[in-house]
Amino acid sequence: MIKSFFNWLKQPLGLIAVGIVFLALFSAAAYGLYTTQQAPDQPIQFPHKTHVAFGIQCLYCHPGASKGPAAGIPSQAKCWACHNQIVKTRDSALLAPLKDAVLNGESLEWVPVAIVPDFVQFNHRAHVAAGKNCEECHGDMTQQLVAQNPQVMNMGWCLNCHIENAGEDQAKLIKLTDCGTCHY
Amino acid sequence: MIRPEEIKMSAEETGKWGMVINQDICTGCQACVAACAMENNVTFVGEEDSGYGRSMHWIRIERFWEGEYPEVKMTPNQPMLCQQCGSAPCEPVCPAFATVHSTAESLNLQVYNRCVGTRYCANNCPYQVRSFNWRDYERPEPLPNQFNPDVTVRRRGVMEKCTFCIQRIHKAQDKAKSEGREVADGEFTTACAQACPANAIVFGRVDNPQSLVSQLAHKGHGVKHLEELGTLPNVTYFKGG
Amino acid sequence: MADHKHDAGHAHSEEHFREKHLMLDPLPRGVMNDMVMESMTGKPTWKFWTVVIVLSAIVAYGLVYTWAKMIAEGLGIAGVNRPSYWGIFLVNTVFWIGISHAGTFISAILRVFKAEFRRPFTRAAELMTTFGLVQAGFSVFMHMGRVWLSYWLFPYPNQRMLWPNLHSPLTWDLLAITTYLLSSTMYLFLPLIPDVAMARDRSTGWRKSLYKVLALGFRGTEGEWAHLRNAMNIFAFAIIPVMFSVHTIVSWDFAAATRPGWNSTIFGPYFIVGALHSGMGAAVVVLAVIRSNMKHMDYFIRGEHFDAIGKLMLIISMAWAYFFFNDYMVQWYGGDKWTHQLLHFHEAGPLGWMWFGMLFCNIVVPWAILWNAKWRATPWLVSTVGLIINVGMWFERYIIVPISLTINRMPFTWRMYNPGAEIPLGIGTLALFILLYVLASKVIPLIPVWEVQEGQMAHELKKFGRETVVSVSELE
Repeated sequence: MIKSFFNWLKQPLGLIAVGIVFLALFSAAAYGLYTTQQAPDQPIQFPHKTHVAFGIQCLYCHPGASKGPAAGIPSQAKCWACHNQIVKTRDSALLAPLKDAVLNGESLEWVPVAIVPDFVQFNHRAHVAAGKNCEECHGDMTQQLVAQNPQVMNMGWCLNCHIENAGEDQAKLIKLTDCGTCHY
Repeated sequence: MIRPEEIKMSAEETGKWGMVINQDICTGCQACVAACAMENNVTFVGEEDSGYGRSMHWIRIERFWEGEYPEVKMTPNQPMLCQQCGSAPCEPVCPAFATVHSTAESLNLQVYNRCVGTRYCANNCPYQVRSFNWRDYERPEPLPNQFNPDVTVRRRGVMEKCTFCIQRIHKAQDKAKSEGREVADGEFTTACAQACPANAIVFGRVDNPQSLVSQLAHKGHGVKHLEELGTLPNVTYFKGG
Repeated sequence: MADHKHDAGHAHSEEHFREKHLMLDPLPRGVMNDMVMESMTGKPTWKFWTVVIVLSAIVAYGLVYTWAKMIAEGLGIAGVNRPSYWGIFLVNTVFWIGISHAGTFISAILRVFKAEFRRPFTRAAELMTTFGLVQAGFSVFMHMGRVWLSYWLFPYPNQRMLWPNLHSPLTWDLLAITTYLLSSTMYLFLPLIPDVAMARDRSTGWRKSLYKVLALGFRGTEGEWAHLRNAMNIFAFAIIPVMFSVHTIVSWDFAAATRPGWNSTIFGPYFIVGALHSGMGAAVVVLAVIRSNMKHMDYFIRGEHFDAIGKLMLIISMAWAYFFFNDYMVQWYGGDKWTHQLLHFHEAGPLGWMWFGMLFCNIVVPWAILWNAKWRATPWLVSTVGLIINVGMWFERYIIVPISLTINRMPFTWRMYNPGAEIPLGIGTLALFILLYVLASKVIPLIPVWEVQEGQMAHELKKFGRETVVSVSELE
């Protein structure tokens, strides 16, 4: 039984079958990897590009970035305060979820895009205070619709920037490459 | 050729953060143990594992009986926690650099996400103050709501230990930096020191001679545990004074 | 060089020599080859299948299921606790590395010193090295809290810019064991080539295709032999320091720690001698099992071989006793209060019987039995002694790891250790070791035929008057 199966695999038709199975597995794996690299679905297709074009500063909606660890996501009251004033958006079908949420007192469940694992203690304030601009990590929001993560946020990426910023300053280098600066 | 008088012990190094514990006024109330567990997301292991010596505490109160019955004497309560050694035996033995010395803060770090769980550090710790996550211990609702978001929640197979509340150190430093000043003595303290009703635990900068902790530490009759091993501990104990 | 001297007073007959010594009892090459082939390719009996099935079941439960459960639930299902952070896992690691030592010792050291009695059992010993190391590897990986991240212990470039800590004895340990596993596997393979080539020419079917690959096209020309001999020589010499380094480094896992009872400068050689002690014991057990269970093996493995290994066992037992005494005496004399507590706990603690049992198994039994030449040549007796020595050496490691860990400088944390999942896991490694051996006996010629034939060609019985004398010609 097993032997005849292996013999069947050895002839041209069998080899083609092996090739097809291999290609199918390979494409499935590639597709699986591809899906992990996509921006998640959001409750509203929020266009960053449009908002930035109106001259709204990052810190207007994400004020936590200059004050503490988390940049924060604006409350829907903040969204609605503006959108309620604009006739075009007040009744727009695209903003219906926002309107519903505000009227029913529910919350919109935004999906975080730029995330670090639980064991990394990241602080936005220190990075803003060090003169980093938002787009250096989060990409150019004037060009983006729904927020996407422009890069893999792994430890090597963090360290490269830390080492670069420390420059010749040994004390700063020690502080910025200390394990306990981010992990505790 | 080195002459004997040229050989110096390196024991003069001072750490950065340190602690003074006064055993005479410690009542053994365990408030520090509870506060530490709350602050640092230390898990509860349950009755069975606790009975088998797997309870996880970053600080524990030790007490012994001396002498034979009926002539027994009770020793003073002895809170035991990571001594944040200047030359820690746990550090060189970790094959993965999961327990490393923080040059910036002069602390012994435990990097949970790098730990592979060989437990060599715990074997080599003369103070036996490290706790290992033997299982994924369950925290029934609503206990997860009291997690401290500033501290990693550890999972099974990872070693952990007292960090001198490094999250509080970072918070205080961050605040001071944003206001353009240095961290003041007594501005913040560790969870155990904060919870101690008798003020038996004092925490602060030992490299600053003006700080309360260094003034207490240099009072003269303080003891550093197992100092003879050359571990350069940063916790000073007082008793019988 | 006359290896087998005999008493000048008694003139032994030729028959006597033939009966006693394999090297003087030559068979035609074809016959001998067929004997080895038959022992290997003979149709497996129901006994064989029962053994295989039982062992596989033990491996499946003890190793696969229990380990999977431990990975999924955490080390909590094992008995390790504070302060015995290392339990039977490390006991077994040291034990298996010890077993693996005899393989190299017998094969490499005896080969280098041209000890003729080694010839028929070098292969069996080398297999013990490789299979023992596999179990040691299992045991050490099992004890890790997050074994799925164990690749972090290997040096490889990564974006985190992190490397293994070269200050840690565990890193040295991993490097040493890996080196030893690779080199001992190669050293097992090299002398196997001529035998596999022999098997290739005498088999059909899947065996033929397997041996064809393994034999690397070996045909037995002068040039091939010269190259093979060179390679084996290099390996035989080079593997000896590797072997010594491995167990020394394993001992540093303990000796480099700041613990009473562990921090000892003599642990390196003490562990090596201990490893040889248990390894020799295991080798003799393996030989007795092979001899009684495989066809034609009583021709190849004879009383003289048990006698020779028995002598080695006796010497090593004496050396072990010397090192044990040295270690104990100096620690006790040092007068450190924690060490005193620990030594007292060893003898008078709840597991004091283990300490006395260790001395009985490792010293009393071998000294009482192995001094007698007649007893030494009795396979069942010597292999029983070997088994007892292994029990004793396991006790020794148990005393060094969990029992010594119980006593530390913080009396508040003293606590006994009760094994849990370590037991099925440990039995699983033992079963896997035996299973690998049983399966290998069907695939690999357990007797290095060419080595035996080479030896028989070099030995000759000569008659001087009424005296029969053995002469051995220099081969290389």
